[in-house]
Amino acid sequence: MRLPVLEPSDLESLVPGVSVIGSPLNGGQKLVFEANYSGEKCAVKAILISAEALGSVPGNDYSDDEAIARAEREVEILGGIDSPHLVSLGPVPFQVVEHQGQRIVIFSEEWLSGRALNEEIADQGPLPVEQVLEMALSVTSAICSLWDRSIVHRDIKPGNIVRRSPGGEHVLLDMGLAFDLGDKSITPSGIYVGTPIYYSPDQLILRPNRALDFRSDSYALGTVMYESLTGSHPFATQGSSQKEVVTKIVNGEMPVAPSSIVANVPNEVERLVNRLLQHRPHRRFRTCSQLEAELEAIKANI
Amino acid sequence: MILAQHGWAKTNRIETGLTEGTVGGVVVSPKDMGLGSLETYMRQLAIDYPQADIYFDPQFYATVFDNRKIGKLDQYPYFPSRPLRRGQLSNASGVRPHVERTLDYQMLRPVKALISPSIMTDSLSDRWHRIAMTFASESAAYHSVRGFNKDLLITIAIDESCLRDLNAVENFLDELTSLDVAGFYIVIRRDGMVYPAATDSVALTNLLFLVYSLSELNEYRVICGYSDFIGLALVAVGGQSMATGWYHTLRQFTMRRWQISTGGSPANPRYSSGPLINSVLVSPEMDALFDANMHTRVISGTSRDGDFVASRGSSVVWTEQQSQLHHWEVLQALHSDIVAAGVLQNRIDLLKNKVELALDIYDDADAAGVTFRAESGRRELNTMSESLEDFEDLI
Repeated sequence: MRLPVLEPSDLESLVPGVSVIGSPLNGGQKLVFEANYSGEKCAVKAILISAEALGSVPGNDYSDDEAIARAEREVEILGGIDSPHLVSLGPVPFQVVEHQGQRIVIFSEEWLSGRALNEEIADQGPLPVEQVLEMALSVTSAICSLWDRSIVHRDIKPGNIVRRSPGGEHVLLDMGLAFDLGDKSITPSGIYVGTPIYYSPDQLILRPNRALDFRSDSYALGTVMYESLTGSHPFATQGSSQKEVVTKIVNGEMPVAPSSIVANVPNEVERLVNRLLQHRPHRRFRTCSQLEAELEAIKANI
Repeated sequence: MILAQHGWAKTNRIETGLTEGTVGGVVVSPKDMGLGSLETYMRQLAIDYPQADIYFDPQFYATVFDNRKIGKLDQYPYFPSRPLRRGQLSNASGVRPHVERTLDYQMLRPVKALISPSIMTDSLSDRWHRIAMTFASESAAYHSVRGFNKDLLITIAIDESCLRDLNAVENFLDELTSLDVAGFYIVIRRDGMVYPAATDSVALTNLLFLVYSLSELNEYRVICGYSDFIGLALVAVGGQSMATGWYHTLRQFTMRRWQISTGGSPANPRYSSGPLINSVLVSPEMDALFDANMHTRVISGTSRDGDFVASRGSSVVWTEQQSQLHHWEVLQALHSDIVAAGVLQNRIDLLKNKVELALDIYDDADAAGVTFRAESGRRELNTMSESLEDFEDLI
């Protein structure tokens, strides 16, 4: 996936009413603008569908029209999901704009003023168990809300988990929207789209006749919980390459126990993380509600 | 729970088992009873034994058998009048009408849960397997759309050889556990003309793992059909029910029951021994144990054992029906012990301990000069013991 070439002034002229506040951020597969619209602060997102010089965007297996229709449908679906732990849509409506030979999808999300989980881990190192469980419950709630609509997020990572406000509740961002334009985690040329070191084995090994389900997201949650508890990714050591980490995930390696890195990780938390990180989906949790119930029970006992 | 695996010549066995509490329900067989008779029978059972769990195995898997002997199945409205070919089932639209007719039929009967139609497969990776999975997914979808108020159990009908490859079993589990259904009804086809057929230890280990994953990890209800003593291991790892019948072909699923008979002689009477976790021939094996004064170590201690001991298994007292009802009593007692042990590890430990004790008895019998045929001897116990050990390494 490539980012659109779009300056703040371009956005302001393409979408009347938008007032960009700062420089755009690289949001992985999209450009993100902090902006005001109708007096409301929001995050305006721009995704490149096609550019004259490129034709369709690499990694996108759909025609332009199909990709746009799919993105619009996703936005409609997400707009209909009422979850306090999923980022909600912002005031700028979904639209497709043409700019310098590019076709660009524009939409917006609520503005989140809290910090991302990766920033918290980078600053604090291992987080308190209670805080990790609270975060896990929020993310699980978001995963469940998506799965109720048969949506798999496919890019759960610390950078996509942000507090709504400083010290506030955790919210899951980037609900697979960019992925769904191509509906592939791996492009035909074998290039990963997204953040493969947080992918599940099922996401990395595309087995015939097997569609991803929420259990793939639950594996990613296991990775995030592990990193939150220990301050380090379960499969990455100092100097690890992405390929080395992905190989470990694909091969079904299990990480060292969190308690061997950080003291005072309760057994039941360790067991839960271990279960989420199982190579095989059938060894994880079958339903979202079972995972939620287990997290609630552990939280109540700690 | 032990369920009666219904078959031909039921007499009043099932009612006796339900009255005595040695079985908690029944899996009825349309192959062995005409449409009207079976419907009347199920209704009467539901009235007389309201607590009994009644299941209807649609036996749809027989639609693809060669040289098949389908008994009364052709009287049932969901059962295809002609054998089905692969091409007729190669997509969902070919499978869907069979699913609808089979589930609709059961919905109107006094069954505890619906059992999905499926086909018997020899592999977990060929086209037939894909068809079986289509039956499963279409059944789950139809059950959900219709909003049936009875649970759905998906039929897993596979040859034992499918279980020899753990990787294939894990792929299978990944797929099965994506189904939003209440549980599974498992039928494993086994080769062999003798009873009990020799169990493949790798296949048994992987079957234990399959049942464990479905029941313990994923919280499905699992009924293991056509079970016998080996079914106790399936209960130990989490299976909720095992179904077993009176004839040997109702205790292990073989193609003998489904193919035109080439004749044969009646089975020799057997005695089911709780302490041995096995059945042995009344003559000469139990005779030899009596002669060696070892019978007290193998007697099961059920309500029928007094008659057996007093008559030394005389065919006058120890009738075929007595022997068969006794079999349920013995399995029920062992089953209860295992369930009462509590959590998974305790159940496994208890069964392993019972197996060790049984092997000790075999050792002593050897020392006393008692000999057994292979199928009555320690072969199945050794397999169970080995498989339980390997299973523990797997989980």
